[in-house]
Amino acid sequence: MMTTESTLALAIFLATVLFLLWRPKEINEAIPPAIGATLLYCLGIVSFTDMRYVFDTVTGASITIISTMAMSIVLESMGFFRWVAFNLVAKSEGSGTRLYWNVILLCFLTTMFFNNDGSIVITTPIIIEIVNILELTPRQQFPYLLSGAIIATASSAPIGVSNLANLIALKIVGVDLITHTKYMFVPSMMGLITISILFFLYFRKDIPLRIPAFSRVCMLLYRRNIHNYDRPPKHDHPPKHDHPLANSKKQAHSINWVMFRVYMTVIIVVRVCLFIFSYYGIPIEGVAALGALIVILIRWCSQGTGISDVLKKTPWHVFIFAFGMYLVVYGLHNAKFTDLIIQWIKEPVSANLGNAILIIGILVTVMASLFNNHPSIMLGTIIITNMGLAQNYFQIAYLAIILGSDVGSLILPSGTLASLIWMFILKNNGIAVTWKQYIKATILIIPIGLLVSLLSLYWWTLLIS
Amino acid sequence: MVAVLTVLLIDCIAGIALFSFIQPVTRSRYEELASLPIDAEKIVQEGETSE
Repeated sequence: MMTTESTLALAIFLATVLFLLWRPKEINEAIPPAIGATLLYCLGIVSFTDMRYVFDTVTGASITIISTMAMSIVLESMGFFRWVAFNLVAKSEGSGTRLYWNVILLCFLTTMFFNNDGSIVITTPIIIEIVNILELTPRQQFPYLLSGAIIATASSAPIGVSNLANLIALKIVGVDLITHTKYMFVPSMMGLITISILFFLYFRKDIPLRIPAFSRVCMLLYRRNIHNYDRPPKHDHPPKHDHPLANSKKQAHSINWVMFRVYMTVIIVVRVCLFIFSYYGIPIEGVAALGALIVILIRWCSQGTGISDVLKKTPWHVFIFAFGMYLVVYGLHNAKFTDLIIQWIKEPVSANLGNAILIIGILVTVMASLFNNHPSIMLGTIIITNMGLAQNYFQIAYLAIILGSDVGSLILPSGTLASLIWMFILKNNGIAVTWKQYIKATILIIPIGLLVSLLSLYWWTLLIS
Repeated sequence: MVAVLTVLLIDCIAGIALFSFIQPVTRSRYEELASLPIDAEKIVQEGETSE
């Protein structure tokens, strides 16, 4: 029997999700959750204490993302992304296919080194630079942009520290980082490989076999001696046709290597400190914020550039979205919906390991797609914690949650904050990608990738247990 | 501590792989790439001429 409170919570939740998917007049995605959260608070379904809890949870993640964004903006302002883009363009040797796999590898390695949100804010500007340098058409650009973003986000599954959502779950469930990596590395890699291949096949007609502008670009870059090779170039043919790089000094400038080394040292030190300080219980958002502050200060002292570009380029609405959506979902939890879900799935989940993996993985995928992976991880962990599962089932169910949250959540842009940040960066760079374009590709590929990951988790668990 | 060091090791490997991957191609390779014929434009021009 549903109480008035639970009926209201459900109605507000459904209306929020409906407006989020519908987005009449292309309203900002932060507006429906913000209104939903306000209504829940006014109706007394969520309390001020709940708001404080959600605020604390979301703030940690938000500060870490903002700090990474600040570092990324500083790197962008010194030409680092353009430099990486030049190198990847040269490595592609004019082949669209080779460029596709180079982009995939770049996104995978960046996520493994930083985290999914950090990877999105670093790799998206690089991919935008690449497609602009090579003068690709919007149709040719999309495969690189979308596949890169999907791989950057999905690559956070293999190791626990690559995703803030994973860290929250690790803390609640009490699984250590080694256990996570031991069980997750192989299944999530299987999923990643499947997704990469499927995206390649899906976009094969849009990925150019040979990139017409490649030879011209290489000649221009070489003539400008962008890598500061010690000798002047031997060939100095003038270009026959104009290219964006040919007419602007800004477009092909070489980067300040002294400052580059300083920034990279700070970033690597901050990264190492994240691990060491988290071991001693110091919040990682504090370390990340300090690192961003140092990088901004160095830039201010060396170049006189202030903080205005960082403030302007940060997607503040994404954090309002995260806070609002978390609160709407918290309202559902307060209205005892988690108990209802537990009643529905407890029996089949407890029946065998395969059921547990598939049901939990798919449930979290659906939840994450509808209302973002951060609150869905919270609900997922509450569900498995209160289900009374045996210890081995419990840990594997947690791993299925991670796959649903990191891989399954990519079906809709609202599934992860990284996807929303990706859309924001594209919009800022004048690249219009609609939800429809995004979903058209992901609705076919992500479920297959998720299923491969979940089945691999099942077989891998049987193999190593 | 072992868990932290293990993940730190994985992170270091990923970092080294990433920074090796984004390094520029060698000067001689750049010379080769820069001296490639601008074939696509020729093809377009030839196509236009024949039309």
